Amino acid sequence: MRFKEIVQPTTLDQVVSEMNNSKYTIIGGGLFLKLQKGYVNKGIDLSKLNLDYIRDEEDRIRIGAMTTLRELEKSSLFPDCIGQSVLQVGGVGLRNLATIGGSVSGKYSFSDIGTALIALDARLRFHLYGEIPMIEYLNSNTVKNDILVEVSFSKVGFSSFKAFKHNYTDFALVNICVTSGDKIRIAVGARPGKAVLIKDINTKHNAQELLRDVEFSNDFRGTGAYRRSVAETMLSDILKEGLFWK
Amino acid sequence: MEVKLKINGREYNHSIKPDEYLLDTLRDLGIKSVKRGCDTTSCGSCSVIVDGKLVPSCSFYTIRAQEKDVTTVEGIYEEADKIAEYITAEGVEQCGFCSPGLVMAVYSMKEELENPTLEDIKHYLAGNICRCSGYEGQHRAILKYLEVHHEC
Repeated sequence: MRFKEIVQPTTLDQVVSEMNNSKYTIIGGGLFLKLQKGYVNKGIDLSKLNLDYIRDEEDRIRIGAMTTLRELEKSSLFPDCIGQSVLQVGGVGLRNLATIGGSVSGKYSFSDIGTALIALDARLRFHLYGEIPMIEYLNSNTVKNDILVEVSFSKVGFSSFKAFKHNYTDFALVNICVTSGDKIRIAVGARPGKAVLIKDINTKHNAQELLRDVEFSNDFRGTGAYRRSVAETMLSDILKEGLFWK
Repeated sequence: MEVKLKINGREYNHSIKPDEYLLDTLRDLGIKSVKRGCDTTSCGSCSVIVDGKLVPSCSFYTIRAQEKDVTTVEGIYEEADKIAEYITAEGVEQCGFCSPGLVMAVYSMKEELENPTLEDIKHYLAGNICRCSGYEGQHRAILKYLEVHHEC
């Protein structure tokens, strides 16, 4: 994507003001914008807003939208699934640019971190709209023309993320994340559709039964049946791991 | 638009397009070690270090580099020379196109990680693709380089 102008506001109000003045695109990490075709008058770069932070509060972890995936990978504050989900997103250089805000606000169905955040019941804070559960944001168009400021989630006990990839840094063929806080939550992504959440888990069910109602589809990377089979195996492994650490 | 950049310790006043990427700016300025490989953030050939962080310059807007220190192979020539010695000794230097990016990644890894294991090296360099030599020789070369130069 090409821009005639890139502005670098230093406050959120300045961003809103820039958004009101012409056709624009918000620039987070900017990686997928590079791959998109098109011409936009104005790019609004969020890199000067000091939104790169990780805050460990009593019962919640808050992450600024411009925090990079590499910072998430290196921090020891997070549940296991966060580090596991960003570990194979491109190389270190890419993860030094890619931001959590960009990964979330793009609603990318292949996202690894997105699946982990859904399993963590993450909430998103937008500057104008306020807070919204991430799963609701993914499945609606409620939030428009806004700026993602923060991603937050409650602390959990056990968590585990697995992705199946053709090669180390590729997009996932299918990914899955399980978290266990007050409830067990399972998220399945890259099906190849948007990630879905399985809650109200019956702990007596096996992986096959838990994934029975999840839809897996075909694309050039693999068939739905293949994805289902891989997802069942990964979930089964995670459930065994969870029982082991219980 | 005019920007002020600090590259390899030297300051530049340079005119760029508003949405120009650092790769293009660096090559415009005659810094030719930085290579355009995939141009989609996948291959690592354009890797440079900005304020201590390894980044693909093909996807890093030049305006974001203002007030930051940009380092390329030209700025770490002596260390790059040492890394290259081990790479050539293992026969890994073939077409050489990916080497500057690989050298920057190895340098960045050495700065960032203390005593990296083979697994750490494989993980850190997963974003640097070589289509000539494969990776076993690279890993041997880097392990030997780190063994000798880890104290630096």
